[in-house]
Amino acid sequence: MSYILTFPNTHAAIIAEKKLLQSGYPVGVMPMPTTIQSGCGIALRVEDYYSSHELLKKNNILVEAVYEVSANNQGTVYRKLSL
Amino acid sequence: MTYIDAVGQACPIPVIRAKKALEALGEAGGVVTVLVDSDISRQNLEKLAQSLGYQSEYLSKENGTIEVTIVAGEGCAVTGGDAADKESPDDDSGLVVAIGRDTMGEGSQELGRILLKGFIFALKELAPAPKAILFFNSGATLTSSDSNSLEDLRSLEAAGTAILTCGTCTNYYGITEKLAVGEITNMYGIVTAMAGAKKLINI
Repeated sequence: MSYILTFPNTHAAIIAEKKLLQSGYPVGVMPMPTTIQSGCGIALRVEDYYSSHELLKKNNILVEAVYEVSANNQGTVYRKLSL
Repeated sequence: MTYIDAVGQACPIPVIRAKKALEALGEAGGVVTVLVDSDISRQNLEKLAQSLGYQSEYLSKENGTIEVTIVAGEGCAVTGGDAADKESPDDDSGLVVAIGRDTMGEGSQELGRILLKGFIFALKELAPAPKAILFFNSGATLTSSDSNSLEDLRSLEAAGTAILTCGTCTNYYGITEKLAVGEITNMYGIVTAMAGAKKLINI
């Protein structure tokens, strides 16, 4: 999965995972990468950040930021996208 | 060749009988064939062969029984102790993680569940990869098809981590057929993995 969503608090991350799973969206859990200074300690990995974000927005679940995940020879790189 | 008819014998009896027969072969090596009637016994016999560094193959018969043949090479005899105790290669962390529940820590269940998923993801970042992850009691639900950690567990498995789930537990929860990653093991497998660990993390 190539995008991660961050949340303002753990509660939002928990209900976001639940909502995405219920709606059949591919979603994975990961601890917040140490290189990201955003939100709570839990991030969600998603395939399609746009539709995932839309779904959460419709359900009043606040997403703090979206990052694109890629890899270079130094390791994994997270690039913040503008929502 | 040693032939063992273990039809109707529950796990782990076929494995114990096969191990004794392999030990009896000694330095010369040889072939041990075991007839079993469950796929789980077949998998456990193959795991036994693998842990000892032996080749194995199996033949499914029309009457539903499975004939598993283990070939013990000459000069690599099983000598007393368990193969899991053998010197590990350098890239082997010797780390075993035992997950006996579907939450991490005490307190909120839903928080515990999401923490455990994050924990399993973070295990992927370890190099070298853990030697084995053991799942038992409600931890066994994490390797079933409804789990949201399958992708992470599959990549751990691809990195060489043995993903072992307690068969008694999947049976109790009615999820044996839903096992989606790794293999079924029994209490002997769990004890052997724990005893052979250099480090053991218990969740």
